[in-house]
Amino acid sequence: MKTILHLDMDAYFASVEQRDQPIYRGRPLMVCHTDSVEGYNGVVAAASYEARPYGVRSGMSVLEAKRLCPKGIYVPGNYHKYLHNTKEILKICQEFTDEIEVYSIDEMWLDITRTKQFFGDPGHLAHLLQERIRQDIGLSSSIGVGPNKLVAKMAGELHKPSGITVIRSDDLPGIFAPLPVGDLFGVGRQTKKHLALIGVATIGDLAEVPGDYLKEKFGVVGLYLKDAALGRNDSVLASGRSGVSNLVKSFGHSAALGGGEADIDKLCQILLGLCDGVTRRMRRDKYAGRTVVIRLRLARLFGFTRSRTVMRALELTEHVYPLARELLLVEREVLRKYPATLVGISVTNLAHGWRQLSMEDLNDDRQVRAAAVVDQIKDKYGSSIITRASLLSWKRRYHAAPVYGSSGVTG
Amino acid sequence: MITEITEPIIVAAVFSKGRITPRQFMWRDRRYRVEEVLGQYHYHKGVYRQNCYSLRCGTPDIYEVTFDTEDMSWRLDRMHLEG
Repeated sequence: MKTILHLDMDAYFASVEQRDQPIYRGRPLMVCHTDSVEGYNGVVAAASYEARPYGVRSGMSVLEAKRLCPKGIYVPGNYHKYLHNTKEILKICQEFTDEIEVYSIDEMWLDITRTKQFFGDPGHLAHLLQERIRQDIGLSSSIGVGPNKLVAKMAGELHKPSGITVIRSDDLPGIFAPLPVGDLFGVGRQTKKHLALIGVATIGDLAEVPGDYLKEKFGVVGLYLKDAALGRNDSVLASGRSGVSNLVKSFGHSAALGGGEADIDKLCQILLGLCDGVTRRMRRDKYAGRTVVIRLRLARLFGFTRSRTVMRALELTEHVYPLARELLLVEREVLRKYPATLVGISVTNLAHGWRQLSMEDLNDDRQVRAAAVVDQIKDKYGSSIITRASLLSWKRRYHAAPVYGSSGVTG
Repeated sequence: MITEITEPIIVAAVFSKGRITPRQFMWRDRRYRVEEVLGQYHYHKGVYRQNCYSLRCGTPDIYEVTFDTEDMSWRLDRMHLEG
């Protein structure tokens, strides 16, 4: 039986700012994705716990947040600082296990199946981890422990902030069944509404609905819902170190899209930016890959991947992006119904240390040479020094992030 | 309230045991004595490391300064003001 620990930093961005700027402590603070600190554009990326009683939540527009909490403090995010802290937190986590999936800048799963024995029991390990983060980084976190990723994440949500919740398989029905179905990871407002129509109010109600009926009603999502209600989840950690090999297996980037993006042109634009990031890292580490994978999370409900493998190993955006775009366009209809809340791309099936030249390259290697020059400029002056004109707008709105590890992608 | 500044400043700092600690800085002809370094982090702009510090200088206001290793210069990025 696996033991998975889910670590979630409490009101992360706001807590970092309150730690570093004492004048913000004890006051409602909103860290915003916005270009202008005075402006009303953008969304709230994190709200401190003092802001919660006003009804301010992450993902809300700054305009709406200011209506609810006019006396709150609104500051723009400093993502270099948050990323620095995440790296420090990751270092601490690596003292407890080497199997870690970084889900987002403030959330990660740790597979402690093999290492928990060194710390007594999972609850004690969780306590030690939480204390280390509090003492060394000065931030509070909530931890959930369970037999799989889903249960661990939901356990962590039960006691926030600064909580530790350990759920064993036997305790699952008693703990989850009475909870509102909206608390189930992956059930958003729309799904909750549809479930209410068939008389499902709690997770226990959902667990009793026949799987076939849910499949008929919700398609593949129905099967996910049934399993999730029963606390079943067989997804594996996208860990950088599987314990078998430390070899790089893929390169990936993703972007979280806040409230969701349904516009296919904008999604293509975002995908192009992500391709640039991925292929640059591949070229830097001398990798080329034959399989292009896109990952979509729709309406916070469920995620899936689509992939395509080609004969030739690719390392340029000009070759990877058309494949990724093609895969995305196939999902056009689905995206119309369910806006994407995350889009990611990865390249797998890697070959290291060599490039396969095509006839095109032999005839005209200008793309290869241009990419090399752009890489050199970015290496020296930073990645924001040069970009495609078509990407100037999206980079301000969405924060893209590379994956920690070999196969996972997070933002 | 945050005020974006991004202006060069003159800083007196202690370089010791691999760490840089700003002690005082001059901005717009006024001297600010650093009472506490509340936080620090770094990031890279290309090959050049940027060391960032949150400083308290006697008042509740906080000053965010950066040491840019590209040209060994200091700048005041922003101020977090009380009220």
